[in-house]
Amino acid sequence: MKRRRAARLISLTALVFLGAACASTAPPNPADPWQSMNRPVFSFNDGVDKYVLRPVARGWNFITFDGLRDSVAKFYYNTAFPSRFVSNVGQAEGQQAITEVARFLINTTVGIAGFFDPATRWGLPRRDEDVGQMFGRWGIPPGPYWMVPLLGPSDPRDLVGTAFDTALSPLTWFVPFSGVLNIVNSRARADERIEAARRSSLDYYVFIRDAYTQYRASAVGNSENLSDYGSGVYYESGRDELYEVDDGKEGKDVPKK
Amino acid sequence: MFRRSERRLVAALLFGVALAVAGANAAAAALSGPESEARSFVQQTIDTVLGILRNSKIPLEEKKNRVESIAYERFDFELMSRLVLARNWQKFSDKQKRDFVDAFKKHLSATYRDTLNTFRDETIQIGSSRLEKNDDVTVMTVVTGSTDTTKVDYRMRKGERGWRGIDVIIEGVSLVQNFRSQAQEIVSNEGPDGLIKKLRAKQLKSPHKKKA
Repeated sequence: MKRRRAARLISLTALVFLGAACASTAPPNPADPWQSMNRPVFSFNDGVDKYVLRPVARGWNFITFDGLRDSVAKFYYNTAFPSRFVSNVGQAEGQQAITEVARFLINTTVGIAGFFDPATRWGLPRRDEDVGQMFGRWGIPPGPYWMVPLLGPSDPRDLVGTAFDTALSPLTWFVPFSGVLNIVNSRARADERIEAARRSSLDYYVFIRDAYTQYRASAVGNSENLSDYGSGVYYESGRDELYEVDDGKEGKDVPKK
Repeated sequence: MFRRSERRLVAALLFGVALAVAGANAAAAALSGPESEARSFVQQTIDTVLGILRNSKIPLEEKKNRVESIAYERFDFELMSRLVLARNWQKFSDKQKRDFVDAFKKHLSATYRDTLNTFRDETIQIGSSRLEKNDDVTVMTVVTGSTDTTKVDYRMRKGERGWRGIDVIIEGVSLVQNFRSQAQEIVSNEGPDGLIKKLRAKQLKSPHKKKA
């Protein structure tokens, strides 16, 4: 009974994707070849956010205060230590790997199970690192932008990375559904920013896609320069074009129509 | 007892640290003219803005107005509009260009005013900077809040009226690039007027300010 329902759901989703794929006639955008599949998934995710996640997150915002939400975020960040450690070692970022160990030891003890972050104050700043970034550093390309049902923006490389990150979090081994509070808490903390993005974007789908793509590219590029932490050396190449004024003189830009 | 491979790792690490420190010192010593100009321009702007935001005697609306007029002076919105539209700029008539610059400026300003609602007691520090190929300077700052730090870079260009910001890059995400992606899809589907209409409609939908 249950299995049949699941099967029906899967074939239904497959149909939706297929229908969307057939409906598209425009040539695929190189930045987003899977757009015809991604857009419907995005609408679905956005709906889940608006009608499920956001109300829950706002309830959480209502019954908690800033400091508590900050501490919950720090707690989860601390438990994700193994994934950051492995990613740093995998990128030969030895110094940062040692920093991670020190941060974990300090914050787990002095920081009371990670709810506080004394390590940062003691000169060991946090630096985000994950398996997807490590893959990127190894030269593995991200592949096409991929809006994953329920999980959100990703790409094949980062989705595999996320699977490793999750597997590397000891909390997920021992406490089932421990991630739920993390999701609600993160969504609650980001509420103002998410609503600002919804309001300010001309096309929310493209806004998210572009922000995700840029963010991941810079996160991968950024890890090459440890000494530049906090000053971020990004986009070492390929960005110059962005800041060139197109005066239309080169001839190649003449509109075709 | 360290195994040999571990000893080698440790040695490599120490060497790496030494290199990093040496590199940082060298970089600080060799600041070029435009770089230090752009940095002091950004520093001065940050000081002025934070001074306004931290002044508890100024009501929020007034703060927003003052910060807005600073932003109008210190960003080159016309150039930003051209960069956002890229090659589409040529498809716009003169009137459409003016309309777009105006709508884009208002749109950014409305968005930015919103974000000031959530300002608490963040601090902003200038980190390193970089001289770009075309004599632009990227000035990198770190915004520190209660839990997180956010990297915010400013792309600066010197024009006839001195230094102006031409892009803001938050955690590696360029605002110009982000709007360019959005504008590209909209212009190719709905044309220049469609884009201008969308920008204007967004401003109407801006949330009403909460009662004071």
